[in-house]
Amino acid sequence: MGPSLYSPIAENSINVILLLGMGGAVGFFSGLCGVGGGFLMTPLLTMIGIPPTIAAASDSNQIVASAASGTYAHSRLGGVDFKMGLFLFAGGMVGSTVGVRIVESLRIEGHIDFIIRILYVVLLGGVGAYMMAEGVSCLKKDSVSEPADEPRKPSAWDRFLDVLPWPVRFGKSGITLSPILPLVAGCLVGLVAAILGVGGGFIMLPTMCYVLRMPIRVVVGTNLFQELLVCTNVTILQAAENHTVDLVLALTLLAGSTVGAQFGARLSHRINADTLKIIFASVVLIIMVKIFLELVIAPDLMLSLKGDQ
Amino acid sequence: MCAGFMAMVLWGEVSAVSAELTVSPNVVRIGAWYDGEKILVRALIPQNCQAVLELRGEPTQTRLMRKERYWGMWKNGEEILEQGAPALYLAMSTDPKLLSRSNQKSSWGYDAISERISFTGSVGDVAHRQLFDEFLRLKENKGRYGIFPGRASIQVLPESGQQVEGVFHLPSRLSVGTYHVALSVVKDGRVVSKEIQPLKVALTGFPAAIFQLAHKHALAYGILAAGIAILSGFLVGLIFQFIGKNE
Repeated sequence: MGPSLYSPIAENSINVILLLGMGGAVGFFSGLCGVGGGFLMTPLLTMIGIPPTIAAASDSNQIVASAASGTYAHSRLGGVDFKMGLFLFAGGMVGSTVGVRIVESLRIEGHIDFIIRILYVVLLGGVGAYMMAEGVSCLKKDSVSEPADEPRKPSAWDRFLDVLPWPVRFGKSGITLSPILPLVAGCLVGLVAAILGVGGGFIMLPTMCYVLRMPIRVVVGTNLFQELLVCTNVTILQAAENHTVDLVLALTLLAGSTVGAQFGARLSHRINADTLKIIFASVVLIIMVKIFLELVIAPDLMLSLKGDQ
Repeated sequence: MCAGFMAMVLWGEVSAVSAELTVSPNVVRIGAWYDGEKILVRALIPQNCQAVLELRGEPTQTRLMRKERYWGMWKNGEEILEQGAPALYLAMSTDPKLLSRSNQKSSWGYDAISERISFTGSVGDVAHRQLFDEFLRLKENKGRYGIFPGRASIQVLPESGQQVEGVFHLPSRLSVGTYHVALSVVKDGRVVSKEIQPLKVALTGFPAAIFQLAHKHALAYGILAAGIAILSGFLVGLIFQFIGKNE
């Protein structure tokens, strides 16, 4: 079974091998698909007995590590638009700060786990279904389409982007865009990140691809960079205000996730972009179904402890 | 008068062989590798007696929520406040019948807790017994409550008296504080002797340091946590870069 580590904030012992394995698997997925894996890790942690708010906050801490590891790997391969990442982070700071306040009030009320589950089902279902449809339809076509690389007819959305004020050139992505969009997108993702204890990648990735029109070669790395910044902010705020960051838990998870992210990042540059979308969408939909079933099937235990008791 | 004299002699005989209780260890130190602890309880009791051993925490107030259906989904309802039940309760006996649940008044076991516990708040029309049973399931599921009838061994000693021995398994999820181990000596259905020993649970080493830092210097703790994570991530990246160059 292996040794167990005691988490002083969670007030529980957890198997080290299990934690390292979970961290490694989620980190690999993170490096491969460019998402922090938080939407996988938080439900996995609650399954092994960690209270949801501590799972979410500690998970943000480990996302910092795997995002740092993945950002470094992608930047060496030329896949990070730091300028865009900073704009996304500026919006994310506002969103995550508001999100932490919302978490605090929902935690006191005791309804946070229900809100988190509903949000997971809606977001994961929407994102997963859209990306699955997108990936499958692209695979059926003969050529692989990347929005920024192939010439195509400007859509209504492209024309709207051109109308927005104060255009800024993002050289690494090869696009010119008003900073209003990445600021708003970053804010919304930061809000979701703080509430759900995720990096927000499963929302940010499609946002970068379809809303900001960034090429796929910089989407993964840039997303990891902005996650690094947003989750650092969330970690500090959660620790300072809610005392829900468990360093023991986070360190053990990140020991596995940082290594896994490296392998995932290397593999991601060898896999077709549409195949990546399908892999990502499949995992997202599986998680969504699991959470949905937990909401609709009668629980085994009718009583539960309120808050972090 | 003769019967009274006999009763005095018998009572005197029981009281003269007072029960002795030892708890080992009597201090549980929760360190980095804590994963539960075995508490060995030994007791010397008079002949022809049975024993009930209990390990209990202090009575606490617990805030609970009960699941209710909402638009076809299960969500937590309004708060129910529980008072009077101990934070931890483990019990075992030499005779299984001593810990069987009944509707009679009892000094130990779940029946005793049921008499002391109260539920207030959004109870609705749920009966006390049903709520208490659900409460027990929650506690047992978390390893905080457990009843083990007949689990304590009893052995007649050659000189006199009997030795009772039992092992309690403290759960891995445990709060710091003072707990108590209680021995109740039972003869003919009556408690003739009671002994209580304290059991302290304290954080030590790395978990204690982390807990102190997280609560007393929360901002510094958050910055430290984030800083360690960033450095670890980049360090792993550097290591893999070095490995890649050498391949």
